[in-house]
Amino acid sequence: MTEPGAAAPPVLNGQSALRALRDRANTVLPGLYAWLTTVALPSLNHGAPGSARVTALCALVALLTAPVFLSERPWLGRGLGIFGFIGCSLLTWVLLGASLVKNPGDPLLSALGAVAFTLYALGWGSMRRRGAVPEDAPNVILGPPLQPRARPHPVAPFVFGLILVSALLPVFLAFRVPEAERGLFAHAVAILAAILTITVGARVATSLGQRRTLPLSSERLNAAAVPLALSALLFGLGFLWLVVR
Amino acid sequence: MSKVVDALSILLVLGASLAFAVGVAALGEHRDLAAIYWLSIGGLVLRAAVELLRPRSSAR
Repeated sequence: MTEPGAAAPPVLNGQSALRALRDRANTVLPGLYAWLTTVALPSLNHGAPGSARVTALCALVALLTAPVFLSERPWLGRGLGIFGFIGCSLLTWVLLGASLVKNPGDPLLSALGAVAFTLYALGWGSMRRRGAVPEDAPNVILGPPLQPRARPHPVAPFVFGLILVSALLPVFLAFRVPEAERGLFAHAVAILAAILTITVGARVATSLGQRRTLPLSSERLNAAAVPLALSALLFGLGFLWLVVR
Repeated sequence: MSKVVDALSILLVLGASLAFAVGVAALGEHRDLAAIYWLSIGGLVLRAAVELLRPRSSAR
């Protein structure tokens, strides 16, 4: 590591580069997986243009060099990691064009690649340094700590986890749609459904056991009577249609 | 009773996501009417879950 106040930039040797990659494993590993499944594999297929292979290689170089520059030149590291890697990946997909659509590959692999890109994006979020205390920051407003109004129910994290997994089910199924236009529409519908499910699921998980804020059970059931009756009616009609057909 | 309503709200959200999943699967199989049907059911069931969680009004 460089001493503070050093005038000349440090020489990056192999050991420090490996250390930088290890320290940023939360971005490098998902990025590497995302690159392999969604950028490298389609660009290595027969019929893929050479320019797409070049941009795919540039994306890999940007991904691997970003952590090396991150500690000394953060703007360059972030520029390479976010704009360089994502930009080159996007350029690869644009250059692949029809060959990317014609050769969809394994839907599960594509879905896992999308998850890896999400993890990569989350990895670039600012994290608290090890040992840093947020209250020590100069902009903190001093005063008594704010206590939470209620403690979450012990099963709330498990409920939310279950709802989260179930909400991702349509997103994964959308990758099984073969046609491009229909697949795009299926992805849009699946993402909208996942957002709605996770939003409501978060409210369900946090409201478990909260008696003070919610009305009586009978009032809650009465409030939900109309949509419940409509969905039951629709379900019954569908069943009837299935029997008649 | 409130625990039963809580469990019902969890089941409704899980049921809604299942209906959405069946709807998306039907969309991929070119069964457009079935897709609209399952996505509508998912929306209605999710709406029911939201209504179960509506907080107590401040006027009371």
